[in-house]
Amino acid sequence: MPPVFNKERCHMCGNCIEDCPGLILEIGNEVPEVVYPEECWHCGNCRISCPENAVSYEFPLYMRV
Amino acid sequence: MNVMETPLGKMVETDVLVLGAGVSGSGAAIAAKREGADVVLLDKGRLESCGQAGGGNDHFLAILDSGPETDTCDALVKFYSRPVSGLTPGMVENGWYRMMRPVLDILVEEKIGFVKTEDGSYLRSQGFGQPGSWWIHVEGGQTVKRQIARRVRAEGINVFDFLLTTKLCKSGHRVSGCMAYDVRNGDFYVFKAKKVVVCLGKTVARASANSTGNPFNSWYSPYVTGAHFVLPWEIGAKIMNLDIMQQATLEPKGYGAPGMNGINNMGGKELNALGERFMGKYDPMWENGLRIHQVQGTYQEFLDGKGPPFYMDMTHFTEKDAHYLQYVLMPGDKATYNDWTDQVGIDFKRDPLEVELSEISPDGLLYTDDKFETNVEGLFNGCAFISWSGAMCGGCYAGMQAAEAALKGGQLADIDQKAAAAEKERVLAPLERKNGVGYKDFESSLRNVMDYYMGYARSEKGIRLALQKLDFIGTYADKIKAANHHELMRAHEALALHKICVLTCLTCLERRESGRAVYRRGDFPNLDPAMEKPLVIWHEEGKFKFSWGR
Repeated sequence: MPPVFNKERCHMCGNCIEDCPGLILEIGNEVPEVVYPEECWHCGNCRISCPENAVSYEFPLYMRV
Repeated sequence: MNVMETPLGKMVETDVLVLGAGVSGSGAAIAAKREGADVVLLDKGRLESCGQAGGGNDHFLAILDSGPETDTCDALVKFYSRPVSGLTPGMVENGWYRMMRPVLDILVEEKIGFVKTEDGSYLRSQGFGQPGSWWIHVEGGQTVKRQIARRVRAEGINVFDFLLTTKLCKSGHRVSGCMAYDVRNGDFYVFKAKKVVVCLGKTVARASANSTGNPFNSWYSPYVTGAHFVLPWEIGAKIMNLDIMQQATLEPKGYGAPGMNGINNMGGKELNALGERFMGKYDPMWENGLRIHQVQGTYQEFLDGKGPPFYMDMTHFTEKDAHYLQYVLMPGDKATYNDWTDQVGIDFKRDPLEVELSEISPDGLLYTDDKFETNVEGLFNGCAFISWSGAMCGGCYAGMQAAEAALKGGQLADIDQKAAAAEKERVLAPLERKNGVGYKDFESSLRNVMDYYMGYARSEKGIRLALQKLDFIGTYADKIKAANHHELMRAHEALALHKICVLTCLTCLERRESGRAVYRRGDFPNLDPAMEKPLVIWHEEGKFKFSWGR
């Protein structure tokens, strides 16, 4: 489910959490947790906010058919 | 701005209160501030990413008076101020055309990536049936909101992120402020203002879903669910055209995203399942005609069994144009566009893009005068026009008018403390409920009704049944429970969504014709020339009222 966080690159700055317009991210253990993945708009703001290029996207199956 | 602590929470006083920090609210706040007003700007999200433009945008509409008659104020007024639109020539000229240059100046200053041609002029395209090339292309459109936000913060506007407005306050006949709460922690706020500009988003999401069934996978922001209409309605505002202004588009199959402006205006050809290019039957400008014709035409082809699938074919583009469209414009409209195309294996030059009819978005127009003031004294409407340009220009104009009125002798009014306490209790009540219905259940029930009875094909019987079922769903409104603040926010979004769905149904019932909206009515399949007027709704003492014409 988008977004996916790279734990090697993520420094948990929290920018993505603040900038997510859907407020679907929360602080996780090593990376932010996508607490409400079905409420993601796939807008890309989390990646735009990330200073470490730690965000990528995996689209769910139902969006690929 | 004055901020005070009270037993209920913070109380904030200002000259001009702007609700909603999308491009409309951002424009309103900038303009009001520049008029000399103290300005407070609220949004339930963060300024940098909230609103429709939080997802990016790849075109900005501007009349530049470059010479042709089609690039003039008159041409813009003629196109947008048609009798049925509810927009007066004055609104379009003053609220949109005259704000385009000042807004462009702001955007240029913030280094928005307007694309230029070799001679240094803006690269513009003609789209959506418009007579002239009005759409300036934008590169890097995925960050436009952040760039606009930078300007808002630099202007000294008092920005309150993460505050969801739940109610407008009234003193006598006029608006006096609002109540809101912090979506992260439930802290309650009361705002007192001399004038209020409502910019909460006129295009409403989550009332229906596309083929994926996920309402958050949407063309427009899924976090805009109708408060722009519902909150003013509750204090007596009139609303126009909740029937004919409902919006729909074509989306890439499976991916809720805008982009049809670029795809159509660069020459994309729509094909049905038989490989036929059919849009010439529905609009003399084919795919580059009115968006509503593309929606109506595709739906007719569907009824005729000629799709799905439907496609937008860009394989005839040059490599350069195909690359520009897919890799420059489209990600400006949604930043993850090519993350998605990569994962599904789509290349615009190689294969036609499968598209689908989108979810249907409730939409309309708050009734305003030429100064953008609604029929509620002191309440101004920032969301009068479509598109980034329309929203930002209209927002600016509304902000200017509100500031001028506030500074000319606007007064703050006392807030009813009992009412504020009751509102705080109502707002937070779902957190206290152990039993009841979750927001997902409440909201998916709404969509069940809207998707089934209020889709692309409707009838009197179906609309009435939809209303009955929405009324039944409404009996659960004070039974919604929320396990945490996130769910509480969604609960309030769902409550607003319910109300806008009801108002949309009530409006659609009265327009007994087909052809002016994205949907058709089986019981009234033809256009009725007598209905070439906006349909205005309001309520008096709880009774629904309507009239034809401004």
